[in-house]
Amino acid sequence: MSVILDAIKFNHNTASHHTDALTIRRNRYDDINVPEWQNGISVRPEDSPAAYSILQTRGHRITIEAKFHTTGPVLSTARIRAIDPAILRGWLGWIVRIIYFFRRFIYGNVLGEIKVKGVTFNITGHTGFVTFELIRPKIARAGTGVYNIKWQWQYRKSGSGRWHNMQLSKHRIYVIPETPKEAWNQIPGSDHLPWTEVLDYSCAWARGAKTRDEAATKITEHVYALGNSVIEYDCPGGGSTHYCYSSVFDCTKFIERMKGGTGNGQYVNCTDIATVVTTFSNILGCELWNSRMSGPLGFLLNPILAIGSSAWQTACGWGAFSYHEVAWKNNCDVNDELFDACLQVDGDSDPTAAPHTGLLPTNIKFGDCSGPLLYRLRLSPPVAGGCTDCIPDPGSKRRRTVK
Amino acid sequence: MADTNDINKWKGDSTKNLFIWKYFMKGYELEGWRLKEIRPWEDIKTERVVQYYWESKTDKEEQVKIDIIECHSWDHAQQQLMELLKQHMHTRLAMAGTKEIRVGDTAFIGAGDEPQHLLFARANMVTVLNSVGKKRVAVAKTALQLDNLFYDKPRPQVTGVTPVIERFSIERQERKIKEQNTARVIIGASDPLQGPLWYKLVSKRGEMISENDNLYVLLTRGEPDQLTVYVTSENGNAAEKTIDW
Repeated sequence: MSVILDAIKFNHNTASHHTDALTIRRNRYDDINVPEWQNGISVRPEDSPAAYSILQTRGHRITIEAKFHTTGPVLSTARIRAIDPAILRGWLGWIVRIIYFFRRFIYGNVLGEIKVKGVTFNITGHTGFVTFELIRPKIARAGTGVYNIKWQWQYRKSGSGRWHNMQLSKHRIYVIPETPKEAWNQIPGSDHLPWTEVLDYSCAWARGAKTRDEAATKITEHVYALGNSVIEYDCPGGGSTHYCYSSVFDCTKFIERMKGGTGNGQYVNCTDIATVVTTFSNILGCELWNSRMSGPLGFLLNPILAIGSSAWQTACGWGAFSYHEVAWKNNCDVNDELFDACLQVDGDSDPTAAPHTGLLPTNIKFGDCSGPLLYRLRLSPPVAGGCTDCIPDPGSKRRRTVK
Repeated sequence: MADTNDINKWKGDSTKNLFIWKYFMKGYELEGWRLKEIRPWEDIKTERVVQYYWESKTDKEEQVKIDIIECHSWDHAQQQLMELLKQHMHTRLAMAGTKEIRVGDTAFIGAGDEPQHLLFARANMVTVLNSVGKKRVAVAKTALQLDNLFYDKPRPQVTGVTPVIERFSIERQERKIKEQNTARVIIGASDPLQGPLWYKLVSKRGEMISENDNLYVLLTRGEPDQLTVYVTSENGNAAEKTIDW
């Protein structure tokens, strides 16, 4: 006689994400079925994904649901738990455990273990889905990240009997600072449920972040770093968008590009990059917008270091931008902070001339043309056709849907 | 946003008496190239946008992405081209004619002697071409091939099955669409092989628009007009019919 784990539900209540996992999907085309783990089907961690929000789960008792059946002579009840198999027990275990503790603090099982619970089998030897409580989850302490976890499921027939091993289940757990924001949603069936294909990047890029600003800053840094190999500012095409059309972002093609495929090619412009920052940050709960700055005839530029470029110049040598688009906070206006992964501005006391000190704009106020050196004066010089023509356009603020 | 590309300079050059309807590519259109992927943008409702990914038959690292934007009218196409130009951060994209590239009613190009980025409007169609592979390729020649598909009379086929035009007429009842007097064009055509069809309509002097999956001619008082339809199947074979009205 033995007990078999049949299935595990992480997202067992789609109406809430305080005590269970968020509702997610793999990509535009593929759903994630609940139960997320199924015996014989879920083999690798990525076969059983679940996502949790730090803010929304804080102070709540997190639960999962699991169901079982018995083989051989029918058992009426059993006590079941799941432990972190990496934790050795016994005296040897204690030594290893001390060493492991520090490693686990960083890499360990972010969902902790499963508290012992008694289950009852029906006359056919099956249970329904039974709610189990997580013990010692480390969601908040671990911070944003992608964590592959294992649980060794065990049962015993009575309260004091020996524990018998059942299956070892493997899961991929995404931890994000807050519930995803637009264009992502939590509407069951929507193709804008958070995609694990995006979470794979966002959570890895923003690893350890515990606040939205921290996450958006890390995302901006990593997107700009793609410029070394994956993407490059579109000088040959006049700074054209390649991954957006109107209000839609071709996230699928951008991911394809990051995975080493062609995607829509290597060239990008500021609209593409701002949309990537907004989309990949908002899935972590940030509240960024895409918004533009422009002037009647464009605006002059200081020397900048465009994404993928190693030369400080005024955007491909054009001297001016017809418009520029960034990931922006709140009202997307003069006093609001922005994130720009499309370019580095000169961060020293004279951004109009060499030498240049690279500054990637993260969480920096847009600013005005007479005040301190903020984003606006670093991007555009204080001359006619420059800073005063680099005007925020909050009316352009939007969040693009993903395809 | 800078509006430095003066639409009035080139709006008059539009091919107003040509209309492409329900256009699609199937792979035979560009010699030396293989159609790798088709991506329709269903979320865009204001125009029909489909992206086609082509790969060179001789070198897989040469790839071209072609965005075909089918608009409701030539005027809509010109506006759409204008919108696309505004999505360029360069304040003024060069007109293709400056590099002796003659394509479409109006065309713009990216930098360099052999541009890898080109966008053009022809009648109600806007086309954007980009070299997207590891190896850079000039796109002007491909643009010209495409433009010819839109603009030229289809060649008479020598082999294969031809579409059948069962009905082709203009409704007598006038309709007001966007404050213009129009009459609906009735086309009944089929492919004996059950494949999809696309339509090219050429009027002697009139204009055409589409709305809600219907096609209309603009009514102009005066001389009689002539309307020709070319119906093309997925193998590139076309049938033709002309009516006077």
